[in-house]
Amino acid sequence: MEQYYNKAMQIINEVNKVVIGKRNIICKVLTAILAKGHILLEDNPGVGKTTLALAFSKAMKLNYHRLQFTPDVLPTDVVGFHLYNREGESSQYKPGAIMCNLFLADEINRTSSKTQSALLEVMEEGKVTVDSVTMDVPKPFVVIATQNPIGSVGTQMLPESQLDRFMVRLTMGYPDLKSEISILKQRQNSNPLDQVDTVACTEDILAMQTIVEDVFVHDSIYEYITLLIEQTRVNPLIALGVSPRGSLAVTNMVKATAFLSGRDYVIPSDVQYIFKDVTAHRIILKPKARVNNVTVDNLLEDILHIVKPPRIIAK
Amino acid sequence: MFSNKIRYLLLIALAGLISILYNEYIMGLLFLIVLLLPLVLLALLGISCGMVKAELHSMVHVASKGEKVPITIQLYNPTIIPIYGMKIDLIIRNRFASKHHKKELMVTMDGRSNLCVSCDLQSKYVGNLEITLKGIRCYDYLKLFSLKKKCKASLMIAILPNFYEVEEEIVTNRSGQYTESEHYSPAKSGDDPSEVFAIRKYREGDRIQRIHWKLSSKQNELMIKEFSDPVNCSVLIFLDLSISKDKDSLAYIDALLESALSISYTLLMRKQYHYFSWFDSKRGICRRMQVLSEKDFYEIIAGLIENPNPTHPFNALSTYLAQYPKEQYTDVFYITGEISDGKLDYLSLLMAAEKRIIYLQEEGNNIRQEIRSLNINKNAEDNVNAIAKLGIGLSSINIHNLRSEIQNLRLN
Repeated sequence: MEQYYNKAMQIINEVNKVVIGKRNIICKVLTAILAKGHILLEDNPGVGKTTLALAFSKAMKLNYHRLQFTPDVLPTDVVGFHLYNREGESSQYKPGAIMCNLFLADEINRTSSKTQSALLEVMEEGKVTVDSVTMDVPKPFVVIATQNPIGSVGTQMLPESQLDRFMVRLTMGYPDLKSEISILKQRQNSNPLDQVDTVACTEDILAMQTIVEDVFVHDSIYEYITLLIEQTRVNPLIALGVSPRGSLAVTNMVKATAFLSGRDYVIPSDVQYIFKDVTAHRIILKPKARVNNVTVDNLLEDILHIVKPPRIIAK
Repeated sequence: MFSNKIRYLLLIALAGLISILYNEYIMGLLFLIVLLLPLVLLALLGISCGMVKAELHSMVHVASKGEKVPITIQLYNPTIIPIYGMKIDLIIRNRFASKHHKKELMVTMDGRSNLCVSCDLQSKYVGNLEITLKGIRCYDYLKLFSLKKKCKASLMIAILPNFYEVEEEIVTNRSGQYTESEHYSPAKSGDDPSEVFAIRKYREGDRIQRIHWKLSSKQNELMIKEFSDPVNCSVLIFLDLSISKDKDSLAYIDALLESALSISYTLLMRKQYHYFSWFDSKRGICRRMQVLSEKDFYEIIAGLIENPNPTHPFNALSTYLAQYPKEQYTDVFYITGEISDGKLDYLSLLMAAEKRIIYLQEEGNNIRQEIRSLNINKNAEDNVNAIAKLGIGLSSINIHNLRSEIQNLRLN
């Protein structure tokens, strides 16, 4: 485990060479990857979303595809299609952009609902079905989707029911002053992506994912997670709380968080660390929450405050 | 506390006298202890009071009128010194009112401990309830001294009005007219081809132009497109929050908000899109919002209760007319607590097929008394007729019996 923990730290350090001042976000993205989840980055243009995905693909030697989602992108562009070969009198499968390890779906909100559904279906099942023929996507398989809240007129923001498919929703935000100066200096003469070394391969990622699965979770932690999720379902200002899929996502993320902290067991602070990122996008507020400008973040803070974490005593 | 100090001074005097009378070492020591004890207690009080922390929390951010709102004061004493007596001062104020009221809680606290003190608050009126933890006052064991620590914690809880559905039909159905609109009825079909309302199977008598040929070829039977019915937004609810100083402002504001919002709620339930407008004294303009969904309805409530000083002395209708000069409406509902010549003049300038004043009054007051003072005519009866001739209907609601009055409101 220690060997893979060191590899994970190396991946973070490599990506940090390019995406400066966002170590927290880099850690959470890697946590989601190790938890076999998908990531939704919702942020303004030009904050480094594509650079982040490229840096990860280079550091982890993942086969990377990027698809800019525009209104005319078809489902077949994503999943592929069968082409009839007249010479051999057979149909040949032409793979779509999805057949890779790391798929960057840029501005997913700009495409039609049909194309969004095609992608979300693959994310959920891990398989592509074209003309009744099913194919597995390569392993490991991660989707990083981006959504741009600015200029969203005429776009179709992912509905809340579909956002559930993403393990985490993150916001990168603008870099701080010091980081932005470093970015400006760094990009004068060279492309910082060239400085990213490959420190892991697909087999390493699969091994890390297996180790994360074996991280120990005490019954009191399961109970703590369940109590937190239950509060999202009974809160008077929440119309739709977190689903069981969300509970599973929280459990998987805390195990990955424990792994990235160098532990093979989960502690309550791991749950508190990732709870908001994993659950915020799965919650729909009631209209009356607008009256006091109540946000999902406020309610999740209240929930974390109300539900007391279990006391873990080391023996 | 003053009486305790007097008693202690007497105790010091007595101890001093005894030590003089019985000239022994132990009596002298006792006198010294009695003399120095208050100083020690004061020092311990200073340390514990200075280190104690207080925070204000509430899980409830939005509540209804009359609903209990639990608030929690979390106290933390990091020192080993227990605090014998602690008084927590809370100030509770509805931002619509200038007055506030205080609440005091007495607790004791052990050393190195956390304490959660809960209390329930209730508000009789709608508005933003501001709860401030003004400070905590700690007392020593003998209650000789007290020290105050200021705190800056505050909470804001939105108290929602109750809304009731008006039983009578308040807007006549004018949807037979073809209107241009960006919004379409979710309940019934119409003749606007720009938006498809529904797809259904062909029935005898359906027009051939309405056949959905692509879907029909897929389904192997004739399918018909039903077009949408554009809905107009030609109903206006104008809420006038100007109230004279002799009236109980909080009760009137509460009644005005509930009445106006009940009418808006009724229209929303009946899928009648409308405008809701009021004068925002913070921004100095009339705000007007379209009510198309429940989300818009609660946005309006948020806008109304965030106004810290909703009452204003002048005629808001004049501001509205200046902002929206040439608008036409089918129905205008003007909800007010006062009627004056100026208001009637501006109301008559609004271009609407039906105009109605909904006047809020207290028990014993009469709309006719208020109308008598108007300059249209000297006689109240003539004034009522004169108002009717202006094309303005009159209805009243008793502010002390809101639910029944709103539900049974007669407008037509």
